Amino acid sequence: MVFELHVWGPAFGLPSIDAECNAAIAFLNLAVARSQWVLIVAHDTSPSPTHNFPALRDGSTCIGGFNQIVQYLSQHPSGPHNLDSNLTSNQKADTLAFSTFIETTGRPLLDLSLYTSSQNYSTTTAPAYTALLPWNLNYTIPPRHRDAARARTAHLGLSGLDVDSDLGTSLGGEFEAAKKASGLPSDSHANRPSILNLGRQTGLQGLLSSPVYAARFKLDALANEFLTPLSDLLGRKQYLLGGDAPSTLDSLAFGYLALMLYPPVPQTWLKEAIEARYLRLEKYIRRMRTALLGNDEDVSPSKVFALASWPRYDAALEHARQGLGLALPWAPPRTTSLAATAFTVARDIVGSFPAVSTLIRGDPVRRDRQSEDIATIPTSALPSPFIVNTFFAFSGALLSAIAGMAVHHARSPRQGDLVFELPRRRPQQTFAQAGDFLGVLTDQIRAERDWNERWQREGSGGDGGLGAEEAMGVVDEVVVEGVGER
Amino acid sequence: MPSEDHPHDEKSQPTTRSPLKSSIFTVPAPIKRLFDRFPLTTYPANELPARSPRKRDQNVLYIFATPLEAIQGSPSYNPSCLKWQTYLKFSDVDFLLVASNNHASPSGALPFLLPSTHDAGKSVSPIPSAKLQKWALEKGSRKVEEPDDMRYEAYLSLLDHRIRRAWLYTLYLTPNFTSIAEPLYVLPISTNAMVRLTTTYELRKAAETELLKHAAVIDAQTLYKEAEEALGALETMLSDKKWFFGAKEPGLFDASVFAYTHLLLDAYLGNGWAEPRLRNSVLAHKKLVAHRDRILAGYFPSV
Repeated sequence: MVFELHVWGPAFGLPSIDAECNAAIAFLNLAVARSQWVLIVAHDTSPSPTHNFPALRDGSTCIGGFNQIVQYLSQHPSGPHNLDSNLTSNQKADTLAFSTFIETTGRPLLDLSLYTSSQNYSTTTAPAYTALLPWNLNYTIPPRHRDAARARTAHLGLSGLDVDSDLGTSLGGEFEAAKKASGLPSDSHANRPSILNLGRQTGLQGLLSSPVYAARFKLDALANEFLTPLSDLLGRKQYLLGGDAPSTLDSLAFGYLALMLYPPVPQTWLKEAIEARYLRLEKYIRRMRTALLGNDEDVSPSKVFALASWPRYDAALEHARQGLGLALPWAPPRTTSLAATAFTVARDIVGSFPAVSTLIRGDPVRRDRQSEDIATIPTSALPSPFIVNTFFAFSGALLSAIAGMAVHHARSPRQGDLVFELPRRRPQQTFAQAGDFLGVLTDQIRAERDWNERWQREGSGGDGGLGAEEAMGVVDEVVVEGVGER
Repeated sequence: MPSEDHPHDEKSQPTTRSPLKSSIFTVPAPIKRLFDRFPLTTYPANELPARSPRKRDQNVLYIFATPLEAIQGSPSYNPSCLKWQTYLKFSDVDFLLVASNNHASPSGALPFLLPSTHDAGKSVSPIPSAKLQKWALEKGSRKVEEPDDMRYEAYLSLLDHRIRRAWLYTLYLTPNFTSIAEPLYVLPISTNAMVRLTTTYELRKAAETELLKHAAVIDAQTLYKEAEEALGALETMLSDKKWFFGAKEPGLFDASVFAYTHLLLDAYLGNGWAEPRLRNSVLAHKKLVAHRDRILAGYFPSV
């Protein structure tokens, strides 16, 4: 049985661009016999249970993540592939603690150095990805890794590194970054030098409190927080936990430390920190790399991809690896068919739309069925999802019904005096109002005429009667006209 | 009383000098007479709002708690608040508890401490949790010494990441949310069902976002297993010592461990545990349980 280790491809002269992949490669190199495993450069993370690399494929099972791989191999029936078998329980506890420490403290440092810092990203990390990914994935995978790195380092308040200019001229501090994030216009002193900058900006204290140095101090403090405990643990020993053989912890530490030392980044604060203050750690990293890759050997994506042109049986591959100078058991990368590429491109394009992406991605939470079955379901004081959904369904139905009626009526208005009727011509309406007004007048006049007639019948004439008669004629005409036009 | 002298001066001025001197600053006589008719009254200061800080001569720690628990001095139900509450007790600082929420905090997160002041007019700036340790070292009557151990940071990362992630998962993304987080964090906020539902959604979403920062999928099995391993490592490190790193007195690390172990071991947290897997894994570590009981008995005698 041959284990297949799927990793992100090589970069910066290291077997992988990712710290955990490097750690897994270093671990397998030490723990598993060379004929029992192959190393595959991959870019489709969907088979991996963690949706990331490293992933170990053993027949039909697939294991994701460094810790899980180590655990799986240590229990594998093909012989315990274990580097920690002769550690004491205290050392095992230390291994666990320092592993967590390296993963959680080293990861943000790498994020800042390789992804968040825009200069390092654009001149070093992004070109490295270009060399090892197919053309279409370069538009999705590196930006996704960068976004994840930004999310992980947002709480450090160092997003000032993430500007499209170099460290020397305008590195905004926390305040500027916060201002930028909230959309306020930036008026930092670094961007706009003013002759009125007296007082706080002068003198040594003013110089040291300028954003450039503030960020640098903070970066150095972060680097020290990570490197000092490791340097103390290493002491003068050959390996982190002593002894004369490397342990799992050494593989993990190498994975993270190597990516701090080797990438040729333009902003070298992390590399400088190791080279200037932690000489023993630097020697340790170089020693570990030599043990893994041999002397001065350079892994490059082009060499690994060159394996694809060789026949796929072991002897020929071994010969090819020797010819190319590859120390690790690299296997030729899987070629992707045109249809698969087309499918990936289509999925990425569709997935980039905001609403669709959430539908495609699905629920990222994988529950623990076993322990939830035991549980009694507690009753909530909140309205149940059923009620909420019913409420939303009803209001949605009501709203769409009203909207539908309105649309229908706008298309075919009914011929009656209904709410939605539009006035055809304005002047008519004014005449109609005049008609109404005069109509009221008519009633009064009519009443007056009746009274007059009665009065005349009784035999006594008067002025008012005649006047009313005349007025009636005029008014009647107007009224008839107004009502008729209405 | 300058405010009472003032009208008196003005009144005497026009009778003696107003015909002689008229500048633009002189108040015209009719207006002056009008204002002189009104007595100048100074009203007493308004009452402070009912929830404003009263006892300024004592340190006040703002934490997540029910008002009754805050008066009794019971442990907070929020791990971060409980950690600092315990640490301040280790430092022998006298403080009052006030039940509060995140909106009250200047930094946006509880806990924070309002130090005592004897001058009521002078305002003191609140101390966020990140600076509480420094403050306690300066003001506390007992200086808590932190062990100078190179493994300190490493073991702290077990708590701050592995156990915290499992805590976030078990509290917010399992049925425990309904039985624990809902009565503690959601129901006190509002009586309006829509506000409560929105808060519920936001809390769960925030927990999910936090967990997704470190992995592309949230796998319950992995989270629980990692937390169990971390508890195992902590127990191995504690072994038969009384406090972590063999210290003579409990320190910040003990407070950090206690903050999680106490809440997980508290069977009556909220309405009780609906999904007890993480709680059971703490119960399986007898030395950690004993460590928690020691702190509870020594520093929270009322519970």
